Parts: sequence; C-alpha cells; structure tokens
Amino acid sequence: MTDTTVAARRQPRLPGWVRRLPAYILVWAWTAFTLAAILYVVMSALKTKREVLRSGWNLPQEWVWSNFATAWTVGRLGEYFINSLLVVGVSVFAILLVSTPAAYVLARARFRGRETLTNLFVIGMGIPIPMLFIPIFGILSYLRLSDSLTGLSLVFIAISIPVTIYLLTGFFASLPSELEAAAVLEGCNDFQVFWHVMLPLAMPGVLTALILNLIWLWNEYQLSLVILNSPQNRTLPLGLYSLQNAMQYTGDWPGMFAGVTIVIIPTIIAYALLSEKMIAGMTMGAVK
Amino acid sequence: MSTASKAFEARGVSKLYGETAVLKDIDLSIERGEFVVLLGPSGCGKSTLMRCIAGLEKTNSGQLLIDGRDVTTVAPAARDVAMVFQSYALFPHMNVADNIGFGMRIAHTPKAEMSARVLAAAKLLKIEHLLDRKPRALSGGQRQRVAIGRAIVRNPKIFLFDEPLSNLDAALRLETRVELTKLHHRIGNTMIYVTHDQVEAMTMADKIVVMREGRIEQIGSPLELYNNPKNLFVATFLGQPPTNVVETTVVESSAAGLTVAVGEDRLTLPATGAVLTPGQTVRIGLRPESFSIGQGRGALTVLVDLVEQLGNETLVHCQLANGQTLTLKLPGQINPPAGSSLALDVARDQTMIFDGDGNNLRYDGRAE
Repeated sequence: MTDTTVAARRQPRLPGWVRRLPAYILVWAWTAFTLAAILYVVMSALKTKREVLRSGWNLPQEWVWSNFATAWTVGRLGEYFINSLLVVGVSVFAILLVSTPAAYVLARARFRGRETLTNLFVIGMGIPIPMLFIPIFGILSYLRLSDSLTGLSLVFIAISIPVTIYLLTGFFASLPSELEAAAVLEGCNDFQVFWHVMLPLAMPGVLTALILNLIWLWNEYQLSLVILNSPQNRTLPLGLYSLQNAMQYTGDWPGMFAGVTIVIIPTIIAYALLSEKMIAGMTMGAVK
Repeated sequence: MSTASKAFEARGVSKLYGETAVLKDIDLSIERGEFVVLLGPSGCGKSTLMRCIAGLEKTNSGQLLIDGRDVTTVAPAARDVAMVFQSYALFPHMNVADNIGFGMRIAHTPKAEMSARVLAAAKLLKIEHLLDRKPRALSGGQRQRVAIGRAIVRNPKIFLFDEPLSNLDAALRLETRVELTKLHHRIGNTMIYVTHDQVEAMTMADKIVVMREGRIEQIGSPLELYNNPKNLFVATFLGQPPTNVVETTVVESSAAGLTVAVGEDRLTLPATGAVLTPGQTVRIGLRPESFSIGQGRGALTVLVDLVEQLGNETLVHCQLANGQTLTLKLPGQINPPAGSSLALDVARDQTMIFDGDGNNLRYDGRAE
C-alpha cells in the first residue's frame, strides 16, 4: 500500500492546467474563429460598398445602417423573414405537439409492438433527405401543396418527428417511475400524469428538442429549394441565395452581409435564451 | 369477525411476472386501525404485495377487499389508499403546499378547503414553515414528512408505506420511527408498512407478516413471532444478532424432556411432543441473549473468538468444541480473552427445536 503510493508520487505528473491545455487551446481557437466570422459579417454589414472591398478588418468609418433596410426591403428579406417565421414557428410547434406525447408513450407504456414502433422511428432518422426529394415532390403535387408554405411545413414536421421522438424518449425514460405511481394514486388519469407531472419534468428535454429543431429548420435550404418555386414563398435561406445572385449585378456586398446578419441573429438569440436549459437537458439523461 | 369489519383482506392472491410467481396464494386480513408490517428479505414479494394493494400492479388471481369492498379491478385512485414511497416521489417542480394538495387539485377541490387541509396536515407534521419550498431545498427528513403529509391530507382508509425510512441516516430513522408510531396512535388509520428491517418491524407493528419467496411464513404480534416462531426462517430473521442454530444429536427423548448431545456436552430441554429417536440429528435454536456465564461447570463449553463491547452489553463470538459458531449477547461489560474457554448456562425454556424441514417442534399454533 505505502509502496505503491510512494511510487505513484515519484512519477512526474504535470499540473492540471498543463494537461488540460490542448483542450483549452482547441476550444478557444474554435470560439475565436466563430466570433471572428460573426464579427466580420456584422462589421461588413455596416460599411459602404467601397469600404467592404478595401478595409478588411477595420471598423466601419461611418456606420451605414441603411444596408439593413436595403436587404429588408429591396432584397425582400422582410417578406422572407415572415415566411420563415411562419413555417418554422408552425412546424416546431407541431413537431413538439406530436412528438412529446408520442415519446412519453413509447418510453413508458407497455404494449405489444412498442419496440417495433420505436425502431421504425430510429430507421426514419437514417434516411438521407436527398433520397426523399422526388417522392415528397410527387406527394405534394398530388395534394396540390407543392410551392406552398403549408406543404413545406408538413414536410418539415414529418422529417423532424423521428429524431425528436428519439431524443425525447430518452428523457422520459430517465424520469423516475415512482413519480408516475404517486400521481396515479393521487387520482390522475394517464393524460393528467403526463400533463401535470411528466411534461414539466421533461421540460429541459422539450426545450432541447425545440432549439435543435428551430436551428435546423431556420437554416434548412435543400428541401425548401425543391418545394418552393415562387419568389413570394421563399424562406430566408432561399432569399439569401437570391440576394447573393443579385449581388453579381449590383455589387452590393454590405447589403448581402446585412442579409446574413438578419438570418443568423434569431438563432443566436434563441440559443442565448435557451442554452442553459438545453445543456441541463443534455446532461440530465447522462447523470440519472 | 365478519368481513365487513376488516380494513383489508387478501384472498388467495397470486401474481406472476412472466413465468415467475412473485406472490403465491396470499391470504391476509387486517383489522381496522392496525399497524401491519410486511417483513422479509429482498425479493420476498412484500413490495409487490403492497403495490397490488395500491392497484399499481394487477393480480393474476385472488381477491383484494378494502373495507369489505372488492377492489381487485378498481383503479388505484378509487381504492381510498395513500402511499408513501421509498424515494418519497415528491413532484420536484411543485412546492411543498402543491405537493401535499396535488390530489385535491386533480379532484377540483375548492381552493379555500384545499389550503385549509394542506395547512392542517402541515401543522400535524410541523412543516408549515416549509410550504413555499421546492423539494430540492428540503433535507431528507423534511421530504419524508412532506410525503407523509401528501398521504395524510387525503385521510385514506389505508396508508401504505414502502420502506419509507431506508433513505434516512440512523439517528433520523430512529426519530422518525417513533414519530410514525405516534402519528398512527393519533390519527388511528389502518397502516401497512413494508420493510426488511426487523427492528422497525418489532418496534412499530401491531402485527407482523413475515414473507419469503412470495409466501407468508407467519403472521402474529412482534412478541408472538419472537417467542414462538413457526420455523427456522422466522426464528433467524427476527432478532439481532440472529438466533444461533446448532446441530445436535438426540440422546434421549421422553415425556419428561429431551436430551441432546452438543459435542461432548449434554443439554436437557423441555419435551417437544414430537417423536424423536436417539441418534437422530436435530437443530436447536438458541437466542444470543439466552446464555449466561455458568456457575461451576455450566451446560455448554465454548472457546472465545472475538469480543465486541457495546457498553451496556457485550457480544461474544465463540466456538463449540465441534467447530460450530455461537454469538452470545451478555449484559454488562465483560472481557474474556480470546482463546479462553467459557462455561455457559442456557435458558432452556427459550430454546427452539427444528426438524429436518426447519419446522419449530415447539411451535404453538394456538398463539396465532
């Protein structure tokens, strides 16, 4: 016993901060890179056309706020912003509305075929989205919903449900079952157990699902490109692309940077507001 | 007594998990106001029986009656029982008042009545100053009280306690044990309490139900079970340290008494009434406290292995000449050196005699 401790002490051991240094360097480098990119975009959005091409990392000489107005009105990002807000808002709401109770039942209820059903959702996660372009387009045309925000919402909902259910099933499974038993004895029916007890406890998980869906749907480009044709139906990522195309003729780079800023700001705000809860949610399943 | 006066009755209740029977033909009746402890080792089915009574588990056969009403297929909430869980199962997102009043909120009880009853229950348990706190801001003992409060506020016909003290430290466990017993005296409802701790069972119960492998081994008051155990299992499960079981050979058995050989020593015990032939092996049960240091030669000679001083009493671990071990619990402070020999007297009327199947040959079935 004594021998081994002495031997262990004799071995040269680096101080903690030295051992953690590579990890710190990596994290700080990543953070610096991300912040620099965001800073560059936002700064460039406030410069004049000429200054963007010349000054690089310098601060704007005069702050040209009108770039945002240009992107918003001339670039039609205002309209696209509303479209995105509608599609993403409705989709995320519907995804959670469907997935949360479904995940609860899959995690907790005992019925024949439960595992098969769970596996079906897992398989659903593995299908590459480009494989679905043609069938989705076919179905939407049949339903007369192609080139419509409703159609896009339906596709978003359908595609997000498997991964959301998978995520939430883990959360519900980690909650102690005695709480359910206690609620049942207090007179709750199945829905009341879910609503009054299990849902509030799974809130970190629901918020995690909310923010992950929010970010990926807000930035979704491929499906929107396939489904939407009319300019008035475009969502922000499509709008940004058309703005970039327009730049080739107008050379209004600050306007485009303003557009990029408009696209990224909402997700940054959402993440800032919800990240603490989301991290709590992500670690909850692990610790329990 | 008529069925209607029983607070609870189980008739031939069985429960299977897949192919495994966890409850086998359980018959049990509990009078109103009784404090009944279901006692047994882990996996004996005591918690399952309690969950069946609560309605959290379905039975495979048999009947459950509460106050004479068949509740076998009745929903848990409609059985008029309240349960305190081992983990307390407090709702973490609600404060103490909301936890206690949760059942009433679900039943849409008027707010004024709800707060009055919550406050009354809280006062009874001396937790009225904690009503605004969330469970995570409470100590283990306080959480325990809130869990009991949630049960009390409903004034159920039967309280169910599932090992409620096992998460508390030793000092708090003792204190809560006393308080629970007092609470039972004060409110007088029927209580069913599950534990594997025989001290809790002995101190709290009006009636103990000893269970093993899904069956009831014996039912009786704590002292009945202690003094008159039906078999080896009950005899060794109750009592701390456990009963010493010693293999002996019958020397002589008559109406006058039974003489057995323990190595070189001879013990003469009261007659059993069972037919025992000389040369037959029987096991005798000797409680650790039934020994005393012998005057003169004594009845049994042992070699001291180890001495544990508890202050008010002394535990002596020792060996018989044939190598079988004994634990003695002797009053006061004595300190025989290890390796020394002790001559012991045995309180003969406290001795139990077990046959090959472990049945107590001196068991008096009329006592139940």
